[in-house]
Amino acid sequence: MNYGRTKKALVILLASYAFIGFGAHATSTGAEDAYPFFSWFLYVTVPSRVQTGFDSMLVSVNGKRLETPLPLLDRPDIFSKGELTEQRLSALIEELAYAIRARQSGHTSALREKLETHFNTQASYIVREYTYDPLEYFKNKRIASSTVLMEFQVGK
Amino acid sequence: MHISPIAIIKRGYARAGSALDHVAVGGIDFEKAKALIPFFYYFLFFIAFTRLEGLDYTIAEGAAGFAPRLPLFWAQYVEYGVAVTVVLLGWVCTALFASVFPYIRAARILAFIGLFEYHALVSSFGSPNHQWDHWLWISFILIFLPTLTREPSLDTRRTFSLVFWGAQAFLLLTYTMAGVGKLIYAVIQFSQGQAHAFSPDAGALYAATQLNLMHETVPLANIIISYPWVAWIPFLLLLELQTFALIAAFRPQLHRLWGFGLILFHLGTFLTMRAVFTAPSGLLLLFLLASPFAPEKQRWSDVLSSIPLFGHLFRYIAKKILLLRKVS
Repeated sequence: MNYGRTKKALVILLASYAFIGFGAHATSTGAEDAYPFFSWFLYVTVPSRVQTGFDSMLVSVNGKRLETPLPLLDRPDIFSKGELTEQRLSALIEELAYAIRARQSGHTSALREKLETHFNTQASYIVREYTYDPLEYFKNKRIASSTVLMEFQVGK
Repeated sequence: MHISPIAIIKRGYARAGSALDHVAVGGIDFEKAKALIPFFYYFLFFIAFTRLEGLDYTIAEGAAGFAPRLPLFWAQYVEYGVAVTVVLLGWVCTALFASVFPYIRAARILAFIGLFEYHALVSSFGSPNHQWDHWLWISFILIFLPTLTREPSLDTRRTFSLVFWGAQAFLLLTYTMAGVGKLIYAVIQFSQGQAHAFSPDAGALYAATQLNLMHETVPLANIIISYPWVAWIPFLLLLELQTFALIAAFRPQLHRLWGFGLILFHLGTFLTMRAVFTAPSGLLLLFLLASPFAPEKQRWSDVLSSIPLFGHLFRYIAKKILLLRKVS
C-alpha cells in the first residue's frame, strides 16, 4: 500500500474505533462490550460522598446477647471464613442483603446456607445496610447510619 | 448556512490529513523508527513467555464461566486445557517469529493472530480484559508497515513513518476517549449536584471507594485520603493529559512529555488506588518516550507553549518575562 492509501486506511481505522467504542457505550444495556472495541470510559463517574454498604454482625452467641454487635471476622472462634477472602465474603453478604430487600425467600435461604456453613457454634447475626462517607470509612471505618434488614439464627 | 455532515467529514479528513503529512513527512528519525519496531515484538515475546510460565496455574483455575469469544471458536471442540496450551504456545511462537523477522509482514500478521487468540482467551470469562487492548490494536496497525528494501524509496519511508505514527495515535486516542468520558460525566454529575471530576476531593473519593471495596491499602492512599486537596492538581493535570492526548500525537515536541505523564498516571493510580493497568506502560515507553518524531534537542519554552489549552498562557508569560528582561 502506498502512502496515500495507508493514510486513508489509518484515518478510517482510528475514526471507526472511536465511533464504535463510543457507540458501544451509548447503546449498551448490560456489560459494555463491542469486542474488541472499547469506549475507554473507565472510572468516569466520581464516586458519591455518601455511599451505601452492607455487612453482617454477630449479635448473640450460644443464646447470650452481646453487649455490642461484632463484625463476623472479629470472632474467628465463632465464624471461620475458611477459603473465603474478605472480598468474597463482602460480596456474599451484599448479595444476601439484596435478596432480603427484594423479598426473594428462596434465594435468601440459599445464600444463608452458604454463609452459615462458616459458623462453628449456635449464634445469631444481623444483616444491615449502612451509609458512610468513603473517606471517613477508609480512615477509621466510621459509618453515618445503619438499618437492620434481618436477624438470623444459626444452629437451631 | 447549511453544511452537510459529509462536507464536515471531508473537511475534517482534509485537515487531519494535512496535519498528518506535516508530522509523518517532517522531522522523523527514520532509522530510529525502524530500530524501535523489533522492540515491540521483543516485549511481546517476553510477555508471552511470562504467561506461558503460568500455564499449569491457568489450566488449574478451571473453565468455570468460560464462554469462548469469536476468535476462539475452535476452543469448543477441544478440552479447555488443550485450548489454553495451544493459545499460549501459539502466542509465544508467533511473537518469537516476529522478533526474528520484524520487517516481514507475514511474521507480523502471525504475531497479531497469536496475540488476538490470547486476548480472546482472557476476555472469554464475562467482561473483556482490557489490559492488552493497546498491544492488540497496535500489533494490527503494524501489519501495515511497508516491506523495506536495502534502499527504501521516499514513499516507503513516508509510509513507514506514517504507520509508526498510526500506532502512536491509536495509543493516544484511547486516552482521549477516557478523558472525554470523564468530561461528559463531569457535566452530568455537576448538573445533578454530585461530586464530579473537577471537585477537589475527586481523586480521594476514587481512591477511598476502590480501596474500601478491595479491603486493601497502598503506599500513597493515606496521604490523599487524609488530605484530598493533595490529589486535586494532579487530577486536573490528568484530565488535561487524557483529553488532549490525541492532539499531542500531532505535536512531536509533546510526545516525550505525554509519554512520561501517562506513565506517571498509571504509576500514580496504582500507588493511590491500586488500579493495576501496567500493560500500556511498555508501549508508552516505546512509542512516546522514545518517539522518533520528537526533536533531538528541545527547549522547555517550545514544549510548554505547545501544550493544548495552556500553551497560550505559557507563551504570554514567556513574552512578559522577555519584555521585563529587556526593560531591566
